[in-house]
Amino acid sequence: MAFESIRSWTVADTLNSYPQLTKLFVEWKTDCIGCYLNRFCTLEEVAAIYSLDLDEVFVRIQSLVQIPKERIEI
Amino acid sequence: MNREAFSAIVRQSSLFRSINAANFALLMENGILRSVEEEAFFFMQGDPTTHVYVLCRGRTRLLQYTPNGQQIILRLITPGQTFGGIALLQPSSGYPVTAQAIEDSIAMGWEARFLQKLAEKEPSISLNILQLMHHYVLELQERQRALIAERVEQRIARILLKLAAQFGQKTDQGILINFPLTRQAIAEMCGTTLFTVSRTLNEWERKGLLDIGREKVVILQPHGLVEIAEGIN
Repeated sequence: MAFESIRSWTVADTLNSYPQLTKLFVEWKTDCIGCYLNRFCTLEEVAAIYSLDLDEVFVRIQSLVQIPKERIEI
Repeated sequence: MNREAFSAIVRQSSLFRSINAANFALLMENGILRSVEEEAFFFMQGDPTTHVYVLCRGRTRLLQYTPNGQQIILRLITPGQTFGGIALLQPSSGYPVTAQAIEDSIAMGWEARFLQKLAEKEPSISLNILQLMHHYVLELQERQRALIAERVEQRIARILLKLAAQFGQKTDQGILINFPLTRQAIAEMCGTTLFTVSRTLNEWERKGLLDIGREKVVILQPHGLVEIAEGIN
């Protein structure tokens, strides 16, 4: 539940807010970096398309950046 | 929409966004508003390059005609974008493209001689026009690479992705390309025939990648289209 709001972040929002997360998308071997549609795809959709564990995605994101509490919780 | 609203759009344009307040006031005093109806023209290929424009309302396309009369769409212009910028660099030569409104459009235009004088006082205009030209060169390089190295399906997918990036709206169904788009226009943008575009789009619709209506395209499986464009399917 605590991750509800991150779920709906788009890739573009995520990378604009936290450019240092670029390396995660590279590590996950997604095609999101430089994709024309990255302002439309949410992290949840990316996880589904590339068969990534969503909870693991959030854990990895939070291991690299300090996300303000209000951005994490509903 | 009044002149103040147009002024705000011009202020945001890549050509004039960094000029100082005094020069911007001068710019607005000297700008003329041109209103062009759907299907009509701001200028034709070969017309003397007299004016530089920033589109304030509507949508306009830049076309070229081949010697055998085939039409090629080079670029779609939306509000805030510059067109006819060549006039600043080569006044009194000929526009290399035709600018045709695809819906009722209004643009603010300036005489090239006026802008050249203003650019002497405001060097950012020259730098901005160079950046604009650099952007065009990159875009043309990408097109050339696509024509040489990519399959036609890849080129069609890439055009749809670019249009979605520029005009896309997320809907419950998928990403709607909010732009009146005919199969003929897609063919002219990616240098292929209407027949090939129709065959390809029908196949993608059967596979559930797209939903195609009259002059309307919804991308149902964005990732599937990205895979085709990147040649990884």
